Amino acid sequence: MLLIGCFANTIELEQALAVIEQSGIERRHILAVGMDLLTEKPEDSKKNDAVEVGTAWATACAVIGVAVGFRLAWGPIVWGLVGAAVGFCAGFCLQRLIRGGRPRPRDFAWLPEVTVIVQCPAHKSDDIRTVMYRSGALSVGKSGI
Amino acid sequence: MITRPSRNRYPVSRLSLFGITYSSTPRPAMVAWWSAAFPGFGHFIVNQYARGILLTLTEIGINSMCRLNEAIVFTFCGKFEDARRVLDANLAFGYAIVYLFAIWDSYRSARYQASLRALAEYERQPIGRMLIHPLEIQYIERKKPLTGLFYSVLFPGLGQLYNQRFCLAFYLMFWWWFFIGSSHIFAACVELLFGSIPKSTGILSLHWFLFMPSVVGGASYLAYRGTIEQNKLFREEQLAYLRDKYGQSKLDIFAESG
Repeated sequence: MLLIGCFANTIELEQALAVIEQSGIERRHILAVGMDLLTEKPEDSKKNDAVEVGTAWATACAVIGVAVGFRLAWGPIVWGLVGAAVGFCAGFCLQRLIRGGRPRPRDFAWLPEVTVIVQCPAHKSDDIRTVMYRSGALSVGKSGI
Repeated sequence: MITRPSRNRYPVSRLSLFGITYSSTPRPAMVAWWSAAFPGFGHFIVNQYARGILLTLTEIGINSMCRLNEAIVFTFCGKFEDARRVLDANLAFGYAIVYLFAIWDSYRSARYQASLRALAEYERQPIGRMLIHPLEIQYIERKKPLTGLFYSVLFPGLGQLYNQRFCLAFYLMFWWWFFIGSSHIFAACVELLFGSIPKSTGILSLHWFLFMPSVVGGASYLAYRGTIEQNKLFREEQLAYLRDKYGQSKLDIFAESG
């Protein structure tokens, strides 16, 4: 029968494959396919993510806040912090809402980046399914009786 | 027929005692901005650490000698006469040249490294996974970008430690300790919370305090970007490995499951 698992690119995935091989499944009965994520389009990779732009704006506004703050009533520390907060929000929102950037790179979230297909005898399928789940599989499917 | 080039003309990365060095892929405009915020940080982003460190030392040294930070604060406060009086114009000219060069040079390097990386990917160059050195163990690990950012916001250098670039981490941490000490930020904060604001501003050393926003911003971006680049290396390396080891399996899918 066939077991199909979706994994992120993690070290646990390699551990899972090693355990499955050690349990007696031949290597030629295991297939691992890297999946291209929808977000990896060239036009997307040219966009900054919103956190990067937010950090840049935060720094610029914090420097100005500190410099101007020496003359303002609340002093440079408060105005520096205000500048950093306002700058981050402004940069983040500008990139996210107006320029349509992602909040942050998709690799922060765990996504189905690799599909693993294992052909195994029926009596081993439960064990291998457990191995997959314990190794951080995002989802596991079963086919055949 | 095109054969795969066998020579390592465009290696992607190298593991060493100091961490992972790689041809990087940041947005060149971002690199230029961090060079403008603090000369040297743009070069850190594109993995040119030695010249980055020398540029940051130049920045701190010459800025202090020509009292540029004081002039910046006076200018922003509208006291142009004071700014003119305090600034050492002799050194400021040279400073401006080096400053603009650092921006241009890091921007140029970022663009060129993007081409180098694209060629390396075309050549399918191998990516090293781990290195054991008598003093250190270094490896590529999947990391969380916001964790790197968080730690360098908390204390510049910690995000670099998270990224395993320990020498740069302690270099940044040393300067952060130095800035904390010489700007009297802690005493100024205490005065701000429990005393009067004018007194707090008086305690603060203007010159050293003005370095701090750029350093914390640059270090956080650097940590954030570093995790993204390392994750990219991790993924590329693992996919190549899976393709080689589990890519040519003979599965009879439809006969088996139908």
